[in-house]
Amino acid sequence: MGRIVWLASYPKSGNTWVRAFLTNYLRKRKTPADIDDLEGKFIASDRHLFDEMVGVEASDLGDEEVAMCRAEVFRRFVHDSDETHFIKVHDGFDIGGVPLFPADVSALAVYIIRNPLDVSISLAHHHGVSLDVAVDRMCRGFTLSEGGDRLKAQLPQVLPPWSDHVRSWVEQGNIPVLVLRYEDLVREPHAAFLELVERLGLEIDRAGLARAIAFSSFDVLRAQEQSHGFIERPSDGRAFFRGGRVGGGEEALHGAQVRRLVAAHGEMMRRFRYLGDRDEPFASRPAGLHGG
Amino acid sequence: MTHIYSVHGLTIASEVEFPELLPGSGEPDVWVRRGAVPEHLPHGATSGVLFEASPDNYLLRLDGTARYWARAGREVLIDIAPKALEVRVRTHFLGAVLTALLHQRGVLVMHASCVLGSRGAVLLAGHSGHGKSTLAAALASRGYRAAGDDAAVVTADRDDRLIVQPGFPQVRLWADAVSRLGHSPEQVRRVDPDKAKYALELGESHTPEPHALAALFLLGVRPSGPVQHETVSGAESFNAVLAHTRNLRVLQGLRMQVPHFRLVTSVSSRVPITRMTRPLDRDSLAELVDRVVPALS
Repeated sequence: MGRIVWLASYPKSGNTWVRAFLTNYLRKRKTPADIDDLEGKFIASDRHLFDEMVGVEASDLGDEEVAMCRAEVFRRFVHDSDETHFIKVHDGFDIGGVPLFPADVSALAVYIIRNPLDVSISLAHHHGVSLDVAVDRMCRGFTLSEGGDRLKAQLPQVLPPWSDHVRSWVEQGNIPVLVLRYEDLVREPHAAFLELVERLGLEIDRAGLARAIAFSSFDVLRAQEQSHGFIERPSDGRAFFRGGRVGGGEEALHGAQVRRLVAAHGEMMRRFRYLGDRDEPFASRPAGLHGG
Repeated sequence: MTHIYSVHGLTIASEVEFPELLPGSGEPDVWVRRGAVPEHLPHGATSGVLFEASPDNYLLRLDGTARYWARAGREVLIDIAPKALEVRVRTHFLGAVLTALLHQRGVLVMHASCVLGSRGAVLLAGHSGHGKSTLAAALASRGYRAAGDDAAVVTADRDDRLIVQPGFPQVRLWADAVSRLGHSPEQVRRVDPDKAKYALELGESHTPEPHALAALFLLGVRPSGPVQHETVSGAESFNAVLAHTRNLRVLQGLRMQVPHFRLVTSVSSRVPITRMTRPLDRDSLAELVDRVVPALS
């Protein structure tokens, strides 16, 4: 039976970057992997995968029925294979206490975390909403790919508030979890990606590591998107790879927005070193041990 | 009371009423009865999350709605749960169960809607959410006749011609498509009380006769850019027809791959196939209609 490595994150936290790194590391090619053909291309909320494995279309089922089926979809998915599958996830770990991701077929959950101040900027851009709306979504929770009046290619993904999303994954206790800080990947890519390679039990190839980091650099990803687009781009055609900067949130958000995020997520921000000793936003803290 | 219906080339005698289906006549090919259905099939079944399948047997379990057992392509037993919503009992029969029954009979069931042109039936295939029902409904409102929504059944006749068997006279649309097509609420009926999904009755726009398969469109989506339109051939066309078969895992559990492969090969080698990809960032329905219309004339 195969195993699943979950590449989990709140949206706009570096998931695609980690997938680009892994693809380049695993494939060992002489040129960068195509961004439209990355490992973990399967997202956990893929509607077609659900329909095929369940045998009934999700659009004919109630939300609760869909939630009850999801863990079983992944068991069936790996049942007939011997491979390790990387699957991208933005859902919280559970919906109302019903776990969506079965521990018995999971090898590891890689949880990528990014400073929520920076996430809010990327989220606003990605969804084409104001910063206030993005901040509000991160504080109150929202649903990705919410259908309502239409059918979306992905199943709806219930995203709890940012802190609860982090907590749902790092404290779930069912699946071993490796937390990768986006900021560490930016500042110390060799150390951070090496830790990922080691935890995945992959053969350590120093030259391959350096090449995969270079081939998944922000400039390479953005250049590919500019030349031939990207299938995971927002649906109104805005760029997916935009700035990727660390610390952008502190500059772009106004005081009330920062205060709201800190008030809602202070505990988790302190835990992952996004706040300084006096609770000041602290994005540029040097890389260190991973939190969690 | 027994009701007689005609759908997908079959005459169905049913103890359960299906107002969605057209009346039929003659000797039934399939019997639908109410009765006890076990929780599981006997040993050796392939199972999905809600179904089990073994040669000649298919079982679907929906707690709170019904259990269904389709046997040898000739009989379906339905065990309806107390307090089940009737419309859900019917929806799962007309979707997953009917597909499994057709797989048992060795015909090709594609995830496609069907529109009639002067040279025969044109299939609009696509995964859920890719716009096949909306496009079929838009073509129907332009005066073209439709022959089914969401599931298209392809058979080979005695002379080995590929024939599309008509489905039932209804297109199921989400609320946004209903309003984009300019329909008023009186023309549509909500399918399920919990979903913004509506049934548009086709009435005279539906053709109840079988027609030769003339062309196949594969509908896809991309984030942005122009509508793309390209001919598909060779191995790619085989894989595309395979990938647009409904409930492939059920078919595998039923061990019906041989007749299925034969029909997939015939369709992919003999029917013109066009891949048409639309952008998600704007409404391109009128453009899609314009691209399909030449294949209908």
